[in-house]
Amino acid sequence: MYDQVTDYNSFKKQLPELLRSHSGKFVVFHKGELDSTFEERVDALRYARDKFGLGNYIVQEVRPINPKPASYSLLARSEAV
Amino acid sequence: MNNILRLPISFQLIQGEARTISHVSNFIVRDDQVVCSVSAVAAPQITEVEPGINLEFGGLARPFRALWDTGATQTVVEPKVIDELELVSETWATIRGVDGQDVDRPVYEMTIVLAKFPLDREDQSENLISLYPVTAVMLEQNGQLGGDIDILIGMDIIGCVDFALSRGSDGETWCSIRHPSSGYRTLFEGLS
Repeated sequence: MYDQVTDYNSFKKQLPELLRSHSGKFVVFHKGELDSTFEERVDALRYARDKFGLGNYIVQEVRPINPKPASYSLLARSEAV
Repeated sequence: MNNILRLPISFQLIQGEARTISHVSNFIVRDDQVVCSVSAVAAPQITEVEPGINLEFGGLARPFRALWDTGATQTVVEPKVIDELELVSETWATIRGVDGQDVDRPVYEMTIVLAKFPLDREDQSENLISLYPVTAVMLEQNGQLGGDIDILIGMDIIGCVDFALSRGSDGETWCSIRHPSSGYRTLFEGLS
């Protein structure tokens, strides 16, 4: 099974530089390496599916990572327990 | 304040691209049951179909139980949903999980169809609302949403539809969902 975790970790590591050079673009990562960049997500997906096969890559938008709670309700519930 | 609205509607999630014209579905919220769905329909038109899957709806379809949660920013699903639908991730996200920890999780694209289940694929008058594309983050393990809940419907979806609770003259509480949105800011705009 293809290891997307490596791709995502690599994306996060390169994100500060990508934000300076490709903010708002869509990047394709494969085997931990930045493969290409696109203006539109659909173009990135089409390219990656054709080149690597479905799921053997990740496509990420270059924007800051700002984690938000999946659910404030469930978070409050779990904190109350 | 409990901002979870528990609506055990039967959902179908479908991988693949689908497009539909949809209108209004109404559901009676009665204890743990949602009775009746309603009005107009248009069957999904498949614009892109993966090989080996059902052509009519563009993918595997399974019923799931979902929670409508206005306190959720993002729609999340339990792993069993992904397994049953054989979905493939193409994007990842970092979210703050239900335990408060930041975690990296795969994101999946899917279609959510609100409909009575089982869906009669031959019946074009069947009422349904089809939402595509929906992006959902997979949780780390099954059971995180509670025993019988598979999907948490967050504001990323709720915010794209007209969503109203109302009390009927019969004393029933109704939930109405309209998609696409009417564009009105309140229930009363546009009413004569």
